[in-house]
Amino acid sequence: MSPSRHLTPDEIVDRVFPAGDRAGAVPEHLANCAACQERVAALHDAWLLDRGAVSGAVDDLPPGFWEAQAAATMAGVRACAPADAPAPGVVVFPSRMHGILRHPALALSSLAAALLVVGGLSLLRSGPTAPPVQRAAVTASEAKEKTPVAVNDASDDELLVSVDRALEDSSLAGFVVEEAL
Amino acid sequence: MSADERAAKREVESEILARVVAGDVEAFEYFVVTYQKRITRFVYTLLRDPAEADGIAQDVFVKAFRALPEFQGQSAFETWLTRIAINAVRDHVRRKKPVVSFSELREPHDDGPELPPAFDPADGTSPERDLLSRDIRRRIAEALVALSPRQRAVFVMKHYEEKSIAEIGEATGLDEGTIKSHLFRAARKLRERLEDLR
Repeated sequence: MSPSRHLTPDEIVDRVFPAGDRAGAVPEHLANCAACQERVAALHDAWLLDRGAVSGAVDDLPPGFWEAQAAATMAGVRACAPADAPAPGVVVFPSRMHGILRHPALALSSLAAALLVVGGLSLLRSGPTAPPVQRAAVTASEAKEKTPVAVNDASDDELLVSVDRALEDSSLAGFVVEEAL
Repeated sequence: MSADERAAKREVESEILARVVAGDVEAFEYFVVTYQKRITRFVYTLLRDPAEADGIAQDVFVKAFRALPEFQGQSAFETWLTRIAINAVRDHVRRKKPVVSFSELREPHDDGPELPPAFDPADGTSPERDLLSRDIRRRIAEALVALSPRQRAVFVMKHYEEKSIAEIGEATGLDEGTIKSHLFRAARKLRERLEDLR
């Protein structure tokens, strides 16, 4: 910069707030210009006052404030900590089981109801039923008898008869049933 | 603090951290008591709101506690805590998204509540100079609040906490060039706020 030119606003700000760890060398003009020195000093003083103010505003808070803040913070920490932090290697009984243990009557009746449902379902599934092959054959025969056959549907009638015959063959019927399943 | 003192402190803190991670929740109070002033001051400098600074500082510690299993110990606990604070302030600013800017909330010559009486710049040297100083301070505060959260954090660490570029890099995860770029832009915005004073 020219020794006779005053510092620009950017240059003044850069003197007080350098982007690097240190401010650059003092420009020749600044060393000799009282007006520029005053402008730099005004910004520098204001910044120091601001820094002192924000720091002082916090540092001068009474001990009670910090105690209360620490207590509130620790309450928040405890709230998000595991309820019963287990010692390493200890297997914790699931917490939802504790509720059941507190109400044994409820637990027993729930168990009985569950057993009843399971037993009922088992009985329904294991009841007497026709073998699958027979059922499939009967169904086809019944279909043949019950389905109204139109005069021009002779080909369908023949198809049903051929299906019945095919199903009488046990190996093929087993295959068909397996496929159906 | 010397390098030896820093190493000793780090060792003590890593032992306490191990206790906390093992389930001794109360041991975490050491970190709260040790760093609450530093974190509250940092957040307050960034936001200039005492109530918000208090609340966010508390959140920072709770977040740190939750994230403790992720703490690798590669940086000092304080540095890690600062990073959490920067993120907390950034999230807070994003959530808040002020409709009215800081400067619009004030009268042109209203110094606002952020100036504690003990630090009132009216030092009696010269009324004109006091007035100018108060005005510049207000504008510095406005310029800071107008910066992006990251620029603000970098600027405050550099010019209010006197951290080196390397320390800022450790806390923010930014490289030297990016930090200097943030500082440069922050200074430009500050200059814009101060321009009409000339």
